Amino acid sequence: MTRIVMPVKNLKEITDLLNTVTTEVKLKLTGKGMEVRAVDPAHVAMINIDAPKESFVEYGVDNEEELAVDVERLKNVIKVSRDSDQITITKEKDKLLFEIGTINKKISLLDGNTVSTPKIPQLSSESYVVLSRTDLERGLKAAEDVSDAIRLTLTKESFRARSMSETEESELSLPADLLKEVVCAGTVKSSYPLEYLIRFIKSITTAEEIKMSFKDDYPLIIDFRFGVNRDISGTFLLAPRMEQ
Amino acid sequence: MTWAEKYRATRISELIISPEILKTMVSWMNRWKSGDVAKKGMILYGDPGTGKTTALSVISREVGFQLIEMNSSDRRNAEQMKLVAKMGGLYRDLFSMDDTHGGPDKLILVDEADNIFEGRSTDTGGDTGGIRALAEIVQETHNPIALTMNEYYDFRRKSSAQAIIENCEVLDFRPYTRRRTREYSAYIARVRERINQILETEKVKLSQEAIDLAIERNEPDLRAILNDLESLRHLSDAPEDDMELWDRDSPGSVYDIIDQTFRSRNYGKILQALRNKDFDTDDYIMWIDQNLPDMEVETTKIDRPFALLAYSDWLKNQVFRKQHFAFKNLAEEVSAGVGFAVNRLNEHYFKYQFPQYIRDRARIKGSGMGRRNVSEKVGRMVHLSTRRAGDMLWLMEMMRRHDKKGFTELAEKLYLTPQEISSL
Repeated sequence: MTRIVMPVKNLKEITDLLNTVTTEVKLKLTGKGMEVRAVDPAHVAMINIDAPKESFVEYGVDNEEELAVDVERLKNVIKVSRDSDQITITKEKDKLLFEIGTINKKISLLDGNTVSTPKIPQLSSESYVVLSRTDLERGLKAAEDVSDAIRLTLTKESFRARSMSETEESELSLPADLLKEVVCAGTVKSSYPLEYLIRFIKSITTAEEIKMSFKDDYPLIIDFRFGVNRDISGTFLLAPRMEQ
Repeated sequence: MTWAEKYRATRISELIISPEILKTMVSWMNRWKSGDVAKKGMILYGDPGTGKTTALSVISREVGFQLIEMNSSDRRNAEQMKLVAKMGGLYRDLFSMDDTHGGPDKLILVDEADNIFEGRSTDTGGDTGGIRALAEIVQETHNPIALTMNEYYDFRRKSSAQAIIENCEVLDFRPYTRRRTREYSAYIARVRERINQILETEKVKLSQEAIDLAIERNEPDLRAILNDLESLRHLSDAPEDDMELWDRDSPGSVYDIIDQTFRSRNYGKILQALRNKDFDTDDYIMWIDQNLPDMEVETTKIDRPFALLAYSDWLKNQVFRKQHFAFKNLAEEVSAGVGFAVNRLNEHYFKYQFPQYIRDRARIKGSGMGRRNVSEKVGRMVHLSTRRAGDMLWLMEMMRRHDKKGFTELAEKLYLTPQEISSL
């Protein structure tokens, strides 16, 4: 029987993250923990979450299993809970039973064949920056509604995130001393979809630091750790804007 | 999985489409690859089941594009359009990042583009801004975008559709241009060959007559042909009995039914088509009325079919005037015979026209609204009721004709729209 117990806060964060890109996902439960991957319909944003079994309060998975769920339904379940609660998830045939304190809720599993799991592309970049989530969040919020894209520029001395339209402009500029770590030879710059970045940053509330790796006209790779004990690792990928 | 899905073509060689169409599609995609783009979009229109979507997905894969599909017709409003088609058009594809050349790498497919934007209620995900959003996307995209649709002529009439069409290569997607040509027989032969392959793989035996009938009834809709054959599979032990089961309804478009009315020599078939139509008797009579003059070659004898049509129109009115609803179908049945009264039929291809009468009526109604609006505005200015002000509109008409300057000033003061001015 499959039965896992985890802090509601962790499940909420995972759900919010998935919700930024897709509506249906497969949660893969293995002997090591839970893995989830999802891509948006336009192949522009991708999320990969690895929650090791140590991040769960209880982790009872006998056989490897894939649970296909509707993200919206999952959100509804979480809505009735409080952040301090723990949530117990039990698989019952084609249903998932959620026990949150005094409330029991059941949702139907989706047909696993209709939900596909994307393959994560092999990506790597030598230049990266590590910065605090709150700094980035402020910069992104300032750029909101200015344009659909945000241009990231990284040098050894600074990190800049700039958004421009005909009438407005917004820039976040962080000198090296405000960054946790920078590795970059020369200058790298590339533009990414702002809307996805904003949705992403709004959905991670427990992560403190995020690592952004990118290079010219190459996907942005965001690595971060989150969860109540920051023991869940996540990767968020964004495709670069095509320049004419 | 149905046969139609299971045996969907996966390679270019398996596609049953005309060679010219294939060539145009491949060269359009190759131009995108080589950075020499003439038209950013491509519109494929044609009957359902002719392989528009399949051809796009197969060819795009072989040329080397990832396919981004937008086909969940329930949630395709402007918002959704922006999130998928626009994003897909402007950003690279995460799955083709190992490909180094960095050019266009995905093809965005908007399936059934002719019926996305109808719903006005937000509950059903409808949004009238959808088509404008799509026009913008086609203009801005850095990746190829393809639209499929069944009714191109309806689509063309929608507002903002022109902006899309200007940026698209438009392709009439049909497997052959005319029946009883070499092209047609080649097409039928390929369909037969494919059916036989499928039957062999499925180990199902069907009589040759059944197969021919399935093709005859449904072509060029391959999906329907396969669905029909599949529904007969359990009868494969007694292939002789399978003929009885054939009767599948499919609603015909007004073009098809008008075409049948004029050209079919089988009255029963016309009636059958009429049973599944999705427009009313009035429209039917109007359509025949509009197109009859072009279909009769011997214009001096055109009175005969018109007399019949007039009779059916009279019948139709009698039904309502005398409340004889038992005769409701009679009017339609009489109109269905107009084709037989035609002396010498125009054998050439003719694009049936939308009834002028309906169009005019819509315009008159529009200008009536215009006058009403003007009366209301004038009334508000001079403290009169809309109706009394309406009686004075002749004065404005005179001004417009004789005192251009004064009229322009007045129109500005009243904030009249060009449409309202023209209604005077």
